[in-house]
Amino acid sequence: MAIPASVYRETVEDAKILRKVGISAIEDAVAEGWMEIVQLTVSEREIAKKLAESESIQIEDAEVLFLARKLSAKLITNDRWLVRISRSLNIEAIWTTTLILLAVRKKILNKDEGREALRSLLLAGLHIRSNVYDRIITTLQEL
Amino acid sequence: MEVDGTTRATFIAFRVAAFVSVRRLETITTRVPDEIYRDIKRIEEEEKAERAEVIRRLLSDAIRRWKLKRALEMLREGKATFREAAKFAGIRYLELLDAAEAAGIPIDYGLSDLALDLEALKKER
Repeated sequence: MAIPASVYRETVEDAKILRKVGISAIEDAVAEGWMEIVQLTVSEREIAKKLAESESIQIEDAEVLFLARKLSAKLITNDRWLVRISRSLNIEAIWTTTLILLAVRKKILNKDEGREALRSLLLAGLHIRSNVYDRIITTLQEL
Repeated sequence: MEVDGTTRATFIAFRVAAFVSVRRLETITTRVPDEIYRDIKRIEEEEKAERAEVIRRLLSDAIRRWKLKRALEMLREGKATFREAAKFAGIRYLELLDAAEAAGIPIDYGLSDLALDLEALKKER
């Protein structure tokens, strides 16, 4: 998993400034080596900047899109507008809830862990309509 | 001053800074109902501040809240990314996420999205 340095700054470093809890998960992921912080080069940032301008989005969003394309990776987000832009650029985007389903399907998480991960997302403030949540849980059980 | 025969309005002129960091001040002139005028005077006394300063602070606060409200509407309507909304509101990305959470804005992930995602999952090895 990779995140641009700008996103690391706005999540981890800004969180420290705002004295928010829960940022250690990202720091731990980086320390454990399964999340990589990618510093874009000057020319890559220029490309991302142009993308931000053409799509009327912020540079951090554009860098995430750029990185996903560069690494031929899926973009993981809960941002509907970003999902829409990503798909319009032929960059595959998945929601965090789907990431959990994917992890269960690939047996990286068992079903109990998947349910717990979904529950953690809700506790962290993710609002999903109850009928959708129920359907995700049903789907998870059927995997 | 009688307005519409019922509302008393007071003429207030003040200069407002668009942003705290911008030094140039523009002059705005408006008439306000008597009730607002009395409230402004009360705040002047309590805050021990000049009228223009009081009005600048009140306006700044109201504009900040309006921007946040509008940013959250943009999110609710699915018309902006979280980061765009944060920029519009003039706050950090994480602050916007907190505000969206506090406002109970769902991520707008629907059954049709789930169906699409499940189709994509099937293609995964």
